[in-house]
Amino acid sequence: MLIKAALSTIFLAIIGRSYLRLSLPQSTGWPLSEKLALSWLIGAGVLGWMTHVSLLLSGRVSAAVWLIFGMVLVVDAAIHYRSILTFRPSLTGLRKISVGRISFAALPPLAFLVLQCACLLISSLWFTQGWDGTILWDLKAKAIYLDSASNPGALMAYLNSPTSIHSHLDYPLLLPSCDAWVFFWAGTADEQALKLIGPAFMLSLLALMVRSLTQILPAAHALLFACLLTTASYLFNHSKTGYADIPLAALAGAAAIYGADYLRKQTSSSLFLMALFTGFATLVKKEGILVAAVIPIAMTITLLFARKPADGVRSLLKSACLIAVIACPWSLFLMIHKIPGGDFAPISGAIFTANWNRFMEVIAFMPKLMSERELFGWFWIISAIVAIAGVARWNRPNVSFLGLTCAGYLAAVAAIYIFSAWRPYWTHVQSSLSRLLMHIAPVAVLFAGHSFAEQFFSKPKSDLYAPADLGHPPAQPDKQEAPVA
Amino acid sequence: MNPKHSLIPLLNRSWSDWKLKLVSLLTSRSGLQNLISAAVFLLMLFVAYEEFRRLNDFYSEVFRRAVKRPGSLLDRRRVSGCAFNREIPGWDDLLGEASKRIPDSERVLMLPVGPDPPGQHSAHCLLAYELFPRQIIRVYPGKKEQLGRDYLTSIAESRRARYFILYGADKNYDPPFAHCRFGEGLLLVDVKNEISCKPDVN
Repeated sequence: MLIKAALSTIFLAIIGRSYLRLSLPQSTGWPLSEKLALSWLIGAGVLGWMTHVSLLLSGRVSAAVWLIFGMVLVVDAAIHYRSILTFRPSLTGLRKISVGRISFAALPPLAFLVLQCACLLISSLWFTQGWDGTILWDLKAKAIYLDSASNPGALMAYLNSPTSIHSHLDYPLLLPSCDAWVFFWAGTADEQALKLIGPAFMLSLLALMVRSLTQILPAAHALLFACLLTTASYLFNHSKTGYADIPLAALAGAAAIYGADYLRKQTSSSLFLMALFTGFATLVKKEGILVAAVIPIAMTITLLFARKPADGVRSLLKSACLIAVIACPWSLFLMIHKIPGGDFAPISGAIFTANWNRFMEVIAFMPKLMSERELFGWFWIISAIVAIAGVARWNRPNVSFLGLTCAGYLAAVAAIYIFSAWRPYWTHVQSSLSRLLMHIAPVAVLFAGHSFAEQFFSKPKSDLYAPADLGHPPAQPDKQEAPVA
Repeated sequence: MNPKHSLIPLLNRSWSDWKLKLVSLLTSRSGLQNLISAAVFLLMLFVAYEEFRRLNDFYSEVFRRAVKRPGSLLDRRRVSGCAFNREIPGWDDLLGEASKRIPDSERVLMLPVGPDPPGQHSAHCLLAYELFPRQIIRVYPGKKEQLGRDYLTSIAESRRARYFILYGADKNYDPPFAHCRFGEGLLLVDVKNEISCKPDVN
């Protein structure tokens, strides 16, 4: 069964690769690690979106959804049959991995990162899905799987069942869709088949992070920043389970990576990928809405100050359109079917006035939680030190975008507890805040990395990239596409 | 002897060079940047090393198991994400029988018997997942509640359910309805009295 599960995971990434190639043809020239990571994230995101659309339009997720999702392979093969037959894209990607060019200083962090990733993959086999993983996410996956196979209507019955309200019926279905995909190919709804989903999201995030940071930093430093993320044990251990926090962290991280990339290179593909991943974040967990609010606002503010105001407005409109298209099906479904959610009271001025002091209490609690060694190790402390060391460079657009995203998300997280329906609300804070902090951890690493990296821009590029480059070209706009005006 | 090649002027010259380099390192912008860069690099390397040291035993265990006993990586496959170990006798039988007998649309009431039987939350979580799409509703009987015919009938009627799964029941407890017993303390009860079990199950 594990082999079937692994093959279905790979198959999902292959389909995601087709979506990537069709939406961004220039991606064929990108490094293999980036393409693999993007393929998985895009494949998972598109599958989740299709599940929501199907649920909205037909009230169920039929097996035809899996078929339509996979049909893109045929379309892609018909358009790109020449390059597929000659394996040109793969060879281009492989050529870019030249191990011989890694500097000696990069070897220890590279070894540590490989060790961590290998341990993650192996140990995820004997870790369980975790309590929330099973009762919230795997249960939804089973509902989707049964709905598409032997028991049509199972998903709708579950979502409308008042006895299942403890399993957060209003949470979106991106992760359960990926899980159901694995069930579909494994032929059984066994939670043991889902062991590789969490690691796949984490490895994709790490691959994108290394790829992104090696564009602006020597490889040794870039790898160390990726290593820093893996030292946040609470985050890294959760990737062995079935919690949705890791997919959300991966998608938020990917959106931030391409947002910062857009501000450095101004390529339209980066803006598209930023908006795409921000939209997909709304399909993972309800907290994804915070990501979807914070990232475009941070981007707009940055562009308003760094470029012409029209640029900011244009990017906001483009992002908002794409995010709305992605997020709307699930929001409409919740509205039409009045699916209840139990954790938060409706937003109102009276509740805000009565509970606004919670905001300050949660903000004051955050540093304490972040500095807890058992949860996050040295992660937040080192990230803060490195980011503060680069305070002189916070006025750079990419750095300020990442900083605004971090600060905005933390403020938004503190603000949501104003409307918490738990009594006392502090139990809600204690049971969920540490997980909410995980979502922004990849963006915090990027913020630290970019704050630190900007100093290298004053050096000649040959100094920066020649000795320690992992084989990627120096930071410059993609040759295949013109910068956005 | 050429004075240029004598030792003392050579040392003097190299000391002056080093002094200049040191001063420029501490005063120039790029020098300071190099220092900060090196400090940050060492700091993060130290953090990675600390993490490596902390997880040393874990790494050893992972790779030892992967190399020597790869099958042991799947040892815990019987443990659900609900932290419930299904190795307890009777559980597989219960799940099999319940899946076979109880229609998908039926509601099942899970009733912990006795004062706080251990693992009841995990058991409910496992039942909810494994018996889906049947709805598993947990009922909390009062401490002084007698699990007699009247009580079971009333809660079955109020929840519009027909089946009970009794968890943690005493082995001497005999429900007033037709039932199947699976291992110790695990019973499937039908309030319509239509259930019948094979002799080896009941």
